[in-house]
Amino acid sequence: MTMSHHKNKDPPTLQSLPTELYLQILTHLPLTSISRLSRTSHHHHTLVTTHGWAQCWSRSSYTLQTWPTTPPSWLARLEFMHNVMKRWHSGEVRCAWVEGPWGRVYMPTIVMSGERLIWTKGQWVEGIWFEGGYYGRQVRVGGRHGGEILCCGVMGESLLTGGAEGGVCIWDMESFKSRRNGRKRTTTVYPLGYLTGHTSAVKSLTPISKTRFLTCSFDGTFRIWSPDTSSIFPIPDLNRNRPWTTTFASHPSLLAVGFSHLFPTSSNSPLRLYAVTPTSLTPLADLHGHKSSIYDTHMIDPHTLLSASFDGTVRTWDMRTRTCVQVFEDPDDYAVYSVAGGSWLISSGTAWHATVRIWDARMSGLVRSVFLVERRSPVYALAMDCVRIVGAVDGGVGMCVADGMV
Amino acid sequence: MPVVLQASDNQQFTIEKAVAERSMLLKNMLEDVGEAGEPIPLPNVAGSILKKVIEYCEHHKEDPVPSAEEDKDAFESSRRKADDIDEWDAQFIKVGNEELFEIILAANYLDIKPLLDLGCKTVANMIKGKTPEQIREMFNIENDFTPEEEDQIRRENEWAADA
Repeated sequence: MTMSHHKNKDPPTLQSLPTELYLQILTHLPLTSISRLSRTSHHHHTLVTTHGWAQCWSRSSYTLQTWPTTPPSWLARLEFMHNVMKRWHSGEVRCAWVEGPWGRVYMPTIVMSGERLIWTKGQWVEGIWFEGGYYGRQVRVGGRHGGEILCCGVMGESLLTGGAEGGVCIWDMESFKSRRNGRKRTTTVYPLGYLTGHTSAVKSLTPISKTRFLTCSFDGTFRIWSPDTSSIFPIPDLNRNRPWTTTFASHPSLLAVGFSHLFPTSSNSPLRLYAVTPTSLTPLADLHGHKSSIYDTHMIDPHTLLSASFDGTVRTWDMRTRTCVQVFEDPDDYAVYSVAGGSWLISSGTAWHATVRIWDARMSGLVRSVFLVERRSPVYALAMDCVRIVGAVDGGVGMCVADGMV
Repeated sequence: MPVVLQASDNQQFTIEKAVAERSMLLKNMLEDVGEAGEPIPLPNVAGSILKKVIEYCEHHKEDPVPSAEEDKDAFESSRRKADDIDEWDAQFIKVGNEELFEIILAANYLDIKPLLDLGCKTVANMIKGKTPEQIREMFNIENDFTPEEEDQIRRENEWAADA
């Protein structure tokens, strides 16, 4: 190779790369290697400590309940994450019932929101508040639907539930938070509002702003609700497929919808993207790859979507290119019912024996399988932060915790 | 309709349009100016590197075209396993350090994302599993820490020292 054309500039090195390219190289490295790179010279140390760690952390997108009130340094956070990951890898984890076992209920679901853990149990919604370490006092609402609750969500200080009869209830979280202080373990509360409109079961419910939320129903429509005015925006039909799961990301406002009961073809994908405004819902793209129904979706950040499918895989998607980035194949080819995670750790709930697979998202590998609880049941829903994975099974809620980290 | 590219050292390359369109920069340029037939000057890319880049684009010209509205800072999109490099690519990228960084810079400038990814992954693979001393040797990094500084940095990174 002739160097004549380089007369007026030095050949490039790792040191002379523009920062954005340097950071792009770091995205392919495990933490240990990044740390070692930072120990080679002042230049690298500065780059890694000013940009590298922050990037690693911002990409991890977990909410942690265990931080002290003043946020620690990037390095301290990463050290914490590194220790947590070590525990997941080495198997220093504990599994236990959070609640249960109780009798069979129809497809329970789970929501983790800040310090709250909320799950459905037949006609009821129950919840606990994490306090310090494990979990504290318990609340319970429901009954108004007169049938099974199929979905729930948290919007600001309101709890939303969608029922098999087609109604949506809005509950005030604060009111039962103050009433649960008595000796009574559970408190029954009346809803703030009951919204009707859907003509069939409300299968999925997603808050899209502080006051608006979106529901999708087996009647083949989406609706965007604004509780103040109760105004409704019916959305054009979804023809014959059943919308099963929805997940929403703001900035940009994207809705991912997973469908079940269909045979995927090139024109009929089980996973679709929509652009959302307060008054419209526009189809954007079909995401092709899954060979069967989608049972769960989860937005890690506005750019990354997780999907769990009956075909036995979990996939991650880049929302900008709308392409599949990673495929996690279940080692026993179990159907995947649920998925949760961030960009470090992903968990998937399988169809059998309350088995949860834990995946390392950075290295694309299976970390381990755990039996959440002793139960012959699929894991219908999952929620996680980096130290705990909570799953809903037939007749209970189980949790797996990284030992000593909470 | 062939496209003519002119490298920084005035070397010219005539390539198929499909090959040139692997580069988002060239693709947009061709869309904007139409097919004038004039050589497109690429003052940031040397002839020897451009030749290499064209070789890559030739090989990958059949690949599906990435979607049009792709973000420039697509960090997350590259979160694939770093060692899933296909065989041809692995052979292609077996070059000296200097040339490797030249290719990365060219891929960035020409906006050829898969090639940029390939380059970054290759550098990452060179860093993986090495001690700081080995990394210094690999990339000609001068150790400018005083022994005290080195000791302090080693201590603050102790949490990541194992594994």
